[in-house]
Amino acid sequence: MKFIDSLHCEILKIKGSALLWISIGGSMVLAMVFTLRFIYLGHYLDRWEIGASWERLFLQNIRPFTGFLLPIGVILICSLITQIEYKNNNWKQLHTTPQSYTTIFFSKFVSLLVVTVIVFFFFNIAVLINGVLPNLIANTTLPRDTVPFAFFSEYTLKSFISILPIVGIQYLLSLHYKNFIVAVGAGLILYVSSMPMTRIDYSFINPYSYALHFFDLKFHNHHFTMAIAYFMILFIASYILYVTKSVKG
Amino acid sequence: MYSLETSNLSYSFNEGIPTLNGIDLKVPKGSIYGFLGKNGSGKTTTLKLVLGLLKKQQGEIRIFDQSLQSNRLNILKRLGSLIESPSFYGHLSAEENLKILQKIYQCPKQRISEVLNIVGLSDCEAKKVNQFSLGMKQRLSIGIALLHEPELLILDEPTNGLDPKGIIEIRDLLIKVNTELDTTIIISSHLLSEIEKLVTHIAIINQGQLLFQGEMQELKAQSLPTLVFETDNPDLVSETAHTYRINCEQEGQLNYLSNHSKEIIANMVKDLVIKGVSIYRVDQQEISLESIFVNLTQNKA
Repeated sequence: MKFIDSLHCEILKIKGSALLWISIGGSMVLAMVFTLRFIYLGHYLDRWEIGASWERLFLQNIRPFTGFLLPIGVILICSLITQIEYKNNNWKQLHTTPQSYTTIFFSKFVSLLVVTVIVFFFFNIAVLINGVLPNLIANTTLPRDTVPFAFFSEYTLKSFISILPIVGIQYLLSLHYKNFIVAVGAGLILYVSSMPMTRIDYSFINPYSYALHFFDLKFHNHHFTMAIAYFMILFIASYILYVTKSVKG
Repeated sequence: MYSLETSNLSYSFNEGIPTLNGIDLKVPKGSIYGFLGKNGSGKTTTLKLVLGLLKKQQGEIRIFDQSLQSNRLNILKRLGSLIESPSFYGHLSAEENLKILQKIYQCPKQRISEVLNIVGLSDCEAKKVNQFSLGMKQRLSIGIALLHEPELLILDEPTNGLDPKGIIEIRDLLIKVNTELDTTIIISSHLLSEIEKLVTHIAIINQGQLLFQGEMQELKAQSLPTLVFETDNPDLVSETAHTYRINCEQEGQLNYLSNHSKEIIANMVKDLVIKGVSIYRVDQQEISLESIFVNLTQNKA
């Protein structure tokens, strides 16, 4: 069984599920709110408020997106990906197919990354709409310069790395606990409780703090390394826990 | 030649309380092997161990003459299963569900429509499985298990939730698969009358121990029939039966005697005649799997 076939199967499972629509909707909602705000209130807003450049507009969108919406989204995506199997006792069916546990673990994780990439893709599309549509409809002053795709890509990547520790811990929880509430509840509690802790010196210990640092624009280079290292540790831990689980279905 | 062999298979969910104790299954190739036991007797635990869903603690499992531990993936390629409740992706159609499994097993695409035909779901291939009735879901799960034409089919309670017509259809389907494709089938069920009509071999498990294993005929031959006594004094018959240590149940003028030997019955009849009891009828009841099962499990309890 090739890994690529296994991944294809995981993508087929996601296709048509609520998970995909929730992810696409969630990724666009913030930029759409900004778009409506600019269309209806654009003339009353200060120039700096509506973004004088694409860079400003993009940061205006991606900061609250990464700081608030994305962590909640990732918590839900991780749980929904594994719930596809839990919902109808499919783990036992999956574990009796001729696929190694490693293939199952990685194909499921890559499908999770695929959904995350879809989220970022639609987020970027929504920001572009946010920059163009108000101009067309309400003649609001918004960026008219060339779209700086390199800037978009850089901050999209930074945003992605900032949420990796959350992906790591939520994937571990979602694989380990059948009950949807455990992973989602624990994720939300830990995330909300980490909000007031971002100003503490050792806040990097908390995997949920990195996205909040991004919101504060305090996501420095050393945070990249730490976020990736944190993710790697959690990812390896969830792999070991999954493979050595004594009851598989 | 056995499709499945276990030796000294033991398992405990809680330390010190064995769920399975030294199970030695021998499933002949090409057989329909009924696996019977009360709820909680260890049937599903055994089947989960055989499928690798539970980590083996003690004993050996060999399928197609290969060790499950070292050849898990090769074995699973040749095996189909349905454990407990049906497994499927409810937000997908029957066809999409089968497509996922077709990719995993790398079997020809036309098997999807063939299987849908076999399980009678070809009219509903595009319908979301969430909208299926329980019987349809059960049929789809059997279809999923049959998709890659496995050599060994392990079915745990496959007729759960099916109406009598559905049960007959599944029975006919399994017999067809067994005879036409030479597929070995292990089937666990609590519907004893159904099992009796279907299986060639049988195993009875109780409290984690195997009480019997062999051909259906062998089991019937080993089992002593229940005798019906019709007399003018059923109370005295009961009393006498107890002195001979024979199980006896009284129902009106009739006494039902089980767990006896021919010699003991002969002596008891002589005794009853001496005591002046008028014996109108001594009749042998047909042995059903149900009565054998009840006798076996009660005696060992």
